[in-house]
Amino acid sequence: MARITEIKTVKINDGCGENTVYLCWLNKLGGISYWLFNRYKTEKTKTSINFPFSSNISNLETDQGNINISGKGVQPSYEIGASIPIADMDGIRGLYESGKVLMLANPTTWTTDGVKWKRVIITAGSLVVLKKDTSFYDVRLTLNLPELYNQIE
Amino acid sequence: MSNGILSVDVSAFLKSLVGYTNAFDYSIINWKDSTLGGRYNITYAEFWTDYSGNFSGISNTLLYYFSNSAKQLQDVYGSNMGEFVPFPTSTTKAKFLSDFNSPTYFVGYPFSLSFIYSDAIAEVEITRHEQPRDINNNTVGGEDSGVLTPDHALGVNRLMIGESYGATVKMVDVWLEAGAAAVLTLFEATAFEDELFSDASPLTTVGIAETV
Repeated sequence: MARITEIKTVKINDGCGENTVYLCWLNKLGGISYWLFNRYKTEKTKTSINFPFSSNISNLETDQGNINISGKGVQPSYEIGASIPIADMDGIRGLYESGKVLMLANPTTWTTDGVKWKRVIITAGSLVVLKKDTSFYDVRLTLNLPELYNQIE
Repeated sequence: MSNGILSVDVSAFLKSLVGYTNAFDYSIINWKDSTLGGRYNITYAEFWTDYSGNFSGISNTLLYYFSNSAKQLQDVYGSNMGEFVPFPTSTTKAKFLSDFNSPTYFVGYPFSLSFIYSDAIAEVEITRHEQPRDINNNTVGGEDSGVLTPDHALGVNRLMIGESYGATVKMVDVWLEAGAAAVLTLFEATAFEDELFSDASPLTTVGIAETV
């Protein structure tokens, strides 16, 4: 037997954390990379108004109003963070630069239900890197989740 | 075209063959991910006014390989992925397709390494070897090994690690070894189609029509 690849050291992390978000992405070398963000998670929902219009009033006494919209756009997002060892920052920058990022949608049931991923987009300019101490960076970034479908008039 | 040589950037054609999904179910030791790369041929023909040439034909042995990667300025071998291609007897060892120097396996979450399962090693038995280590980098227990399935050769592969480690294990060294036993005969029964841009075939052909 002859060794044909480099020896890759894989670090083992217990995967603990309360506000976990697990991401995988296509890295520049054409492989798949992974990271668990577990420092904090802020959930946001940005809505937008689609096509406001004035509706006709047929009965001034009983009509419920003359303002209307055709619907609302709903864009959920997460602001996530992690404490990243300095040695891992190259990989995390790869995540920020990747155009293919997926979020594990069923982190507690994937072993029984099968793994499900959701396409997410890391918003441009959202990577914030704070040096925490000599060996870690505090990293934050914002993920746009898929837009929610909504009723349209 | 003044010197009679036509250059074609085939990546424009190959982009239609790669994908942006993760379909790996994390149930087998290695799995060929066709969204990350594959094989292709080129067939071409010359056409001009009042002339229609014949396509040059394709070969099922003269193959080209592609990966869904983006090399950078002054990278070793330029746009070629030679650094990452394993050879059975080379003193230079192939790199895994990871942008982390040491990737992290988060226990309880899906994880894989990626590597190129090249034609150079497809005919011999390939095994994944692991050596667990503790927090002080001392070995914990002996080496573990598992045989890769050759059915997923000839493409970019996802490689699972053992994942069942004791509490004292904080890192694990992973590498691949090639044996001498033949496991696969290449190309003997390889099917191919002559349809343009078919991604259903194990061998994809890319057609290029030249217009003068």
